[in-house]
Amino acid sequence: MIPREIVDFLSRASVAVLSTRDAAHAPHIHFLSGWQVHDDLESVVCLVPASFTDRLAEGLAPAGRIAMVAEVIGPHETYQLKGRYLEHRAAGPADRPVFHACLRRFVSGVQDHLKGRYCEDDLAARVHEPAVALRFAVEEIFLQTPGPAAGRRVFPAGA
Amino acid sequence: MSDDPRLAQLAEELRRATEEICILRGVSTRLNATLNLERIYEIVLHTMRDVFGFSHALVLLLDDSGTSLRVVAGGGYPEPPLGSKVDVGVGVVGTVAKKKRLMRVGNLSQQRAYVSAIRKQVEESGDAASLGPVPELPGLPDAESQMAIPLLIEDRLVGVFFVESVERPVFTERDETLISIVANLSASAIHNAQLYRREEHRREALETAAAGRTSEPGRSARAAREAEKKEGAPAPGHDFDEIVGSSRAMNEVRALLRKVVRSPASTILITGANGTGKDLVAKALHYRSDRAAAPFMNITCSALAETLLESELFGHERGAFTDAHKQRKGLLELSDGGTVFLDEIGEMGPSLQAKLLRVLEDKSFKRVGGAEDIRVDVRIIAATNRDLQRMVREGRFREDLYYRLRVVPVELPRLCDRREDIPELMRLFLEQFTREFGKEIDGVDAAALAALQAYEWPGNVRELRNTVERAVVLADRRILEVEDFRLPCATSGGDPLHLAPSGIGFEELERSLVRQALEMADWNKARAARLLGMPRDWLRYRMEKFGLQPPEGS
Amino acid sequence: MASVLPAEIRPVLDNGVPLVLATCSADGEPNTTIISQAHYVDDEHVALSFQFFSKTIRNVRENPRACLCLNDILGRSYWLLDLEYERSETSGPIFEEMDMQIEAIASVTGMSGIFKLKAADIYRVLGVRKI
Repeated sequence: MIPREIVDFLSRASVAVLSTRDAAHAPHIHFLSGWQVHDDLESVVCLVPASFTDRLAEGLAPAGRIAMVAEVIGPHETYQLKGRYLEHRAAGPADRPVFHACLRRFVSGVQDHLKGRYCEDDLAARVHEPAVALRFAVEEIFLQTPGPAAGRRVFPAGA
Repeated sequence: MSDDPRLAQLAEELRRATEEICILRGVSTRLNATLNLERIYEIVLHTMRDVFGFSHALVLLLDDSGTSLRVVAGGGYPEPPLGSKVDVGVGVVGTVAKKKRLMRVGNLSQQRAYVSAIRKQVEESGDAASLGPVPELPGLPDAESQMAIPLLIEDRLVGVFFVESVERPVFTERDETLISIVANLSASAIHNAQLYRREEHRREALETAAAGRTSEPGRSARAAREAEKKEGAPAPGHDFDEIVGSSRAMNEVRALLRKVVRSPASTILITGANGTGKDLVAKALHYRSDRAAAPFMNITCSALAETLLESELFGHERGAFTDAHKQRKGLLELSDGGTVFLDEIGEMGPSLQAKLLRVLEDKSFKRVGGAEDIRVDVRIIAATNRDLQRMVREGRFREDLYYRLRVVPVELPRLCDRREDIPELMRLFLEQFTREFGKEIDGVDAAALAALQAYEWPGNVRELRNTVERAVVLADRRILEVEDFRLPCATSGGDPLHLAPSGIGFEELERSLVRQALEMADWNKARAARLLGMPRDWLRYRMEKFGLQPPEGS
Repeated sequence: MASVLPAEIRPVLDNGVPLVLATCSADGEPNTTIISQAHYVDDEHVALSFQFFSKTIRNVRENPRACLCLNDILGRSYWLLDLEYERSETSGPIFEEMDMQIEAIASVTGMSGIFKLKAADIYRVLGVRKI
């Protein structure tokens, strides 16, 4: 089960990205429009915009390995979740609230951190409409906040 | 006219380049026209802010200790942080001072937040003891962009220019180029102005002493000696003891000095490579002569621009040039009855050479801008590391001046030509620095002494002195070893080692080299063997022979 | 797809918005990190600072392929750079310039010795895509 503090962290994270890799082990990046821990508390649903679905299929095809990193912009609190692709579907109306919540967190996070350097419209334009909802099973979670402890596994404990 | 956008772009580039040249010319002219430090700061700040458009600017100068910089001028701040200090190595200014390279930073708020996140992680992990204090630095607390430029004279740091802004990066590569040029011009101006100010103070002190001398001769002789004690003037009454060395070469030098010290000859030319002690010999000659009670003045001919050097030597009349607000006596006049030491005489330009020749022949000169002949009784000692004879052949030095200076030639040998003096010199410096730094060091081991004697010493006695000073400062044992001296390993070609006349403990030297190679290679025998150019078996044999084992845990 | 960095990407490299770097181990496990900045080396190379993320450097030494994503907010674009790790430098002009910046920031935050540059990792740009 995903630890409570990580569930809480994901509800505060202002930016998240997936990476996959193709058959040649070349990594691919897919910026997310939204993310939420699934009701089973063992997987995460990620909203991938159409602009980043290019290479998603070839990234999942070989072994379905996924690495998702999420950050709270400002304090740079960051975690990386690694796991295995489970399923995907087209994003739908039920995903809108998640998308909007993540978008608002991104806009406010950047504005607070970069002191109003960018206007809200420009920032909102960076979070694209979701096209695919992808779910992956979380197998490991690592602290990724920059610092000497970066890379420490926090789930499962005892690594 | 064509509408070609490329032509328009080229025209704009040309216009901009022309504008920048005009700006730089203006800055150069204004800086050249003054020897006043405060005026120079004004010019710099005006250029940074009003011409280049940086909102905030500071000028910082390196203090005498060389470990920190002090704000001497600022613009754009509600209250410029004058007098604030920045340690070398701290912050943008301190890092630029340490590395002697320009640096631009942008996105400072983002970088600070990034590092603060790391700091918080360290604190929360219970390792707060590893964190250092957050220093207080002059400047804007919310600066977003900063740029710092070192002010260098021959790679020696004079200070740093610093500009900053609360806006996002506004500094371009073009700005970097322009500001670097202004920094170079300003560094020379500041350096000259500092030298000038120092000479001003010294001259005022001597003028006071000279004025006292005419009414109370005894008192002013003591005053003159007191004033020059700071210059490292040797105590009188010794037989040139401060010129250390028992080698034949140095014995011959001392014998020559004893002959000339009281001779009526007015000029002496000291030749020798850098760091051989030419200034020491000049002072020794003065303070053992009949002129000891009168001033000893020295000047390095390469340190000042020709016009400044002329004014320093001959003085000037009021109004002779910009900033000449009053009449000033030059070194020749101030040292009347004493000695003037002209170091690096080979750097003196042709017009000054002619004027100096007149002083030597007629014992008189005119101040800059003056009409009156001034007579002086001064002994000239000149020094150079150049081949003046060759310069004469090439037309770069006057032949008549050369022969006039070379009435008594004194040639100082290179340290590598009198290696037998190295132990004596090393002991002298060791004693001096252990006393100065309060360290307890009993001596050096045989291998270290052998290495010191074998080294080439391209910087001569000065380099030896600096090397011993560094070894004493960094030493953490009572008997210094080879690695304490951190001698460069490069050799000058030919034999990699020179055997001292007193010989070398060969086994001790071999043991030391093997141990050093092993330590350098982290006790990896293959690498250590390669360092020594020998097969691994040979190295293993020597490890057994000398009982060399890696320390535990390596 | 261009293999040379276009001029318009240079200000994006240090626009202050975090970048994403993805790598993959030899046995096929992807790894993602968020980094603070990338340095322009020349039209075909970027340098990334190696400070804390040792998994990244372990991955690229096994499998040199990497992917870097830049968020150009003003340009309303993402830039995806396909990279290939070439080498790590611990001296030289690139390292010195990056090290100088890090040293300066570390010294004003009491982090000297902790926040330091271990190496400048040099990557060749294999391809550039703008989204």
